[in-house]
Amino acid sequence: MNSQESEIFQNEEISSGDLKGVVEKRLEYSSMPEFLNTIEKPAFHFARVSTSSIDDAHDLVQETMYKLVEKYTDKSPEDWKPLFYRILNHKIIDHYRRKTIRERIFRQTNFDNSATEDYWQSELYSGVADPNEGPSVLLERQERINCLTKSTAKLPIRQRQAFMLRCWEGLSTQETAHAMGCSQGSVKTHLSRAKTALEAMLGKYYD
Amino acid sequence: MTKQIDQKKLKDDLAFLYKNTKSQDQFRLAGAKSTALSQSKTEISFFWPVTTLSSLLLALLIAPPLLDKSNNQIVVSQVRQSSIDIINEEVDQPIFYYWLDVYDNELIAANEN
Repeated sequence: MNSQESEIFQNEEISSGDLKGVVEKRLEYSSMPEFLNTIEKPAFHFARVSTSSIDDAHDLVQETMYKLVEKYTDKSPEDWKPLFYRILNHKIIDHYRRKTIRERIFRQTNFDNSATEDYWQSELYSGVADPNEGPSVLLERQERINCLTKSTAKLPIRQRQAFMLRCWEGLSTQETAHAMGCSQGSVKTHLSRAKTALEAMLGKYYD
Repeated sequence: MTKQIDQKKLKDDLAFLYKNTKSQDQFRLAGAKSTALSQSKTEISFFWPVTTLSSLLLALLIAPPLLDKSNNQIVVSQVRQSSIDIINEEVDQPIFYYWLDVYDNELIAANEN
């Protein structure tokens, strides 16, 4: 194992920790509406990058919210996030299956891949992040984010799931394993590979 | 060798991305959220109770004719057995052979004529 990989795994150990402790520290919701408020935007961007379609992303997020509220409202709030992403992941995989079948039947159909384009392409930016950020800084940031989403979308599905759940959504290894339906070892392997691939693609932006 | 991703910068960018989600997307997400929250409480599934009850009713409808059929078979076998018993009893009696002789004699006489 090289120094880079060992560093990745060291970070894993620190961040996985005791699940309850981690959850108690960052739980920002106690009711289902609060939870949906906090999860809606990250979930939308998660689905957008995974499906490469804004409309499909909206559909998947809505279906996931509906199912979570219908089936799991009675579960404890710390279980909601992993459960939400577990449902969303299953729906994304179903989406890929349906898309593959559609593509086999209608080979000439063009699907909407607008989400892989710049997210702000058709909209004037009304930045609210930091008033001190000048236009050049904002432009650089937009370019960086677009590159990040495009590069993430290029990853194989399991690597992308592991990377987005761990690094975007901040789930622990244990929660990510639950959401992906695999072992913690597999999560670490997928994450390590995803990071290696992304570091090669995003090196100049995130060094 | 590849470089390490700056986690802080990544998190800042993601926060920026989430914060600057397009207004039409926020609107659609709010709609999705309200649809999810306004759904009626999980309805009790009536599938299994209804299926069980209808199966029982069906069984009750089908069972009586089948039971009757088996009863009929028992009665037929009982009648057969009783008729065999009667024949056996008759064969055991001497009068049976007497009448057999009478019939035989009558048959011989008829043939001679």
